Amino acid sequence: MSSADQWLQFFGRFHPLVVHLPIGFLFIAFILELPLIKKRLPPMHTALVFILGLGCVSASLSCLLGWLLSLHGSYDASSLLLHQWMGIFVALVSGVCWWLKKRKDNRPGRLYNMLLGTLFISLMLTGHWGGTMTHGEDYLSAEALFGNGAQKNFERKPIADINEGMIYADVVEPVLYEKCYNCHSAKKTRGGLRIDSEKWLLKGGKSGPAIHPGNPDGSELMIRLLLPLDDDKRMPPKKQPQLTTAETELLHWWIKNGASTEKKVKELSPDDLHIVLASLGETGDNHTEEITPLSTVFDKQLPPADPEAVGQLRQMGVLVEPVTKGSHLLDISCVNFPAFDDTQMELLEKIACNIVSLKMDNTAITDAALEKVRAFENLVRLHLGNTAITGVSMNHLQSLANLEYLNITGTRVDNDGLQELSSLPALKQVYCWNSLVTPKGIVALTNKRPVIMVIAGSE
Amino acid sequence: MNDFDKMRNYHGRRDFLRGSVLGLGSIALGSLLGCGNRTGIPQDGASLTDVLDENQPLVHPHFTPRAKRVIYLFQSGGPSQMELFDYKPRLYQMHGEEIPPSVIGGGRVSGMVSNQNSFPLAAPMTSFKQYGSNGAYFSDLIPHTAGIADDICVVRSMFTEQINHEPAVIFTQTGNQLSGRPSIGSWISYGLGSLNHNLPSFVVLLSQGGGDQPISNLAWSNGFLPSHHQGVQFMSGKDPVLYLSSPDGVERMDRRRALDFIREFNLLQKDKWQDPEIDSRLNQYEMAYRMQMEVPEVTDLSNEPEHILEMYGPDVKTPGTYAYNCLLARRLAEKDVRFIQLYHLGWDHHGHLTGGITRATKQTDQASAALVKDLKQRGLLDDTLVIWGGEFGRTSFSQGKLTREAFGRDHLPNAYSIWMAGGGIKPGIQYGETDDFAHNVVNNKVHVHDFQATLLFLLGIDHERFTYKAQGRRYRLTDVSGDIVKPIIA
Repeated sequence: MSSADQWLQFFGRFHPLVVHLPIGFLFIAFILELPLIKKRLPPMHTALVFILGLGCVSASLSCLLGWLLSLHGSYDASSLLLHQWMGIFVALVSGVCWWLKKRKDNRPGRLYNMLLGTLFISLMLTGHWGGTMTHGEDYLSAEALFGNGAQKNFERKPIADINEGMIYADVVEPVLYEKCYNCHSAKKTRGGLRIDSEKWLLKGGKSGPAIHPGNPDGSELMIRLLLPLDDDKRMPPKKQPQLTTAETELLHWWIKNGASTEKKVKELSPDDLHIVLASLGETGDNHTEEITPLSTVFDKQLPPADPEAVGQLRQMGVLVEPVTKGSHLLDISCVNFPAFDDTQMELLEKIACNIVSLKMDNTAITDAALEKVRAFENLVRLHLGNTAITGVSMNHLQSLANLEYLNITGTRVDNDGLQELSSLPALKQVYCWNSLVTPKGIVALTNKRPVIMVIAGSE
Repeated sequence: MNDFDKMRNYHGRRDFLRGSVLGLGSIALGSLLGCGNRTGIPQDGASLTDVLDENQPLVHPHFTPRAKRVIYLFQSGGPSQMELFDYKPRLYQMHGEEIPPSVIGGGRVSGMVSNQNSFPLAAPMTSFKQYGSNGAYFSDLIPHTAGIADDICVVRSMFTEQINHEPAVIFTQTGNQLSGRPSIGSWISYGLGSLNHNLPSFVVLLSQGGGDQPISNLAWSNGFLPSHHQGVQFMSGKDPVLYLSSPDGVERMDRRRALDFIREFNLLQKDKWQDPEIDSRLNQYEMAYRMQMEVPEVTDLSNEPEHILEMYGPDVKTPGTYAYNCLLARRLAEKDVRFIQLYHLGWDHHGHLTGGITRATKQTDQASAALVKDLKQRGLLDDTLVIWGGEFGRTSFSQGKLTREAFGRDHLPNAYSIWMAGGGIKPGIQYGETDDFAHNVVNNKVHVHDFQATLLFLLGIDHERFTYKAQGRRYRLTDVSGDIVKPIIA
């Protein structure tokens, strides 16, 4: 494609933007000319001439851009023709209206009124056909809005006798229907490609035939399916429902075996049968299944932590690391610096809201250190194992609204201290092995807050 | 200009100009885009050449990690899935009958049974019972593992591409059947670095008394990654790390002075040759020096209380056993060592499976379960990923003549079982299904690369973006495939 072509295509893409101008201009002209409105407003002949003029110019511009767009887009030819000529008609009629209005001073004739009415109707129709081409035929249909239109003709109906089932019609086509037809069938042909019959599959689109029966690895359809999600050429595109692994394997198998539309399930060998049946199953949907998200704290955008405090902590040997690349949430560990004590808490206080995980196991801290922890609003994990803290300090943790994990193993926290934790809203796990906590205390806490899992060891 | 010339002209005029322009340009762009280092503190040793080298460790994960460290209990030899985790009642009924040819299909068998005309099915040597809140089946050989059924996720649908030990072990550990690529532990050590300055980030523990099947140290090789990322093997006995302790009469001060002196020499060489391996060597010297303090403390189990030792079983008191190594693994995990790799040999039961597997499970079952329980009670299981598994599975048909007392099972790449626990894995579930003969996976297949992709994901690494360029090509642990197994992630 030459660069002039590319520029033309680029401008063409402004058609959907510019097209709204004549709609707005001509619409307001029509409204202002309605007798009911006109009566109540001062005469505005000059304004109307101006508005109609703008309408005509912008409509002409839209036509030009639309034509540029049509050179490269792949649209259904008949809709395109209709839309194109209606658009030109609108531009012409608006020109005539403008001329009549300008000439006839403040007394527009019947012809003008008729033309303006026609203009309004053709404007609406042109817009509608344009929308249909972009969004698909069923975008505005009553069926799509009020019925389950998409499902109507193509439900995956149970196959009465699996052996009599058709491989293409009962297994392969439903996959294509569900994941591809929206953009590649009679109603829309993105990339010039339709795949709603064998004929179209072989004919292909702009990138050549969609399939080469017998050669799945050389088939554009398979190549597109297997590209990384981020690739522009990937199909289905990133945000659309993806094929399951089993469905992809099915298509691969189907093309490899000649892409027949005639075969029945009973003609398959056991190995093949397995692939076909697997695609009918519900499981293995690796692409769409979501993993349980972590604490919302991890999505927070925070200002960077005080670099001076971070530097001082690192100097001591405390690990201060961002949770992920580029994040200002910090993960802090004293594993290399067991001498950490209450006095150094002041440094942590300076970066309090950036800390999401704090590991102070085996350090020299005491209850006094936890008074400072109050301000650690984004703390999710707190490790205090094998330190000198006691139950008294547990009420300092009350304000930690995001705390999910607390480790007090090997400390002198007791049952009373444990009960203080019942008001922590996000708390999920408490580890209290080797502390002064007894089963009685655990029962008391879990009775009050069953979501908290208290782990006291296996003995 | 080839690399050799490039080295000679390291400070050539053009390199200097290009370096300055690209370097300054990228720094300027970096600060414009706000992606400078987050803390605003310059990182040590970052220079223009670093900016130009695309092989930079990740240092910080791509996404929020669910696991901080990994303990990989590698069961080398190929544990039999039908005798441990994959309950197949039909095998008991069909004992002695031929395995249906359709089950084997076109799949390959090893050379060891290729002259066998008959493939009689062998009933598992043990019975199964249901355990845990989901009623999962575990064999009587592993009562302790069954006892932690609610803490682990058993994946019964693993499959691999290799049928012999060496390539299969190397495939599982490095993502490629031929040796020479970095091991998983090396990738992690390179990518995420160390959490504890005084211990290596990748430690290997090899248990003794398993079997005679050898394991090559290529399984914990750093491959093309800088050599200080290779697994450091801790030995049993007086000297856990060979040649680490100073000889009699050498004081720590002497050692320090000697190291400083050697360092000066090495830096001279570095100036001359610009070989990055010299950096690795310097790193290793310094690491060894710091380890001299830390290692004796970590490997001294004398202060472990009796009830903890009891959990791991009687073997724990013998240095070098699997149980001893499991306890050591826990101690290393407590010290935040990133990747702790155990190897237990002795799962290769071609003949006399009954005796062999009884021995192997006696050596490993209690300690593996104890490790999980011990990590859990200390609050460590939550961010420690524990993996138990071998390189492939075994056949349901007998290798050699089938008698009730003596039968064997051959290698089977098509299907095998592993389990994982902690570190972001859903506890108490069974994932995947095999056919009635535990020979093929029928549901939720997990390829070795899928397993590796999942492991990296749990550590916060996107396996597709984590690459290292060597010999003109970017390499990944998962090569060119691998899907994260989302259903087993908590």
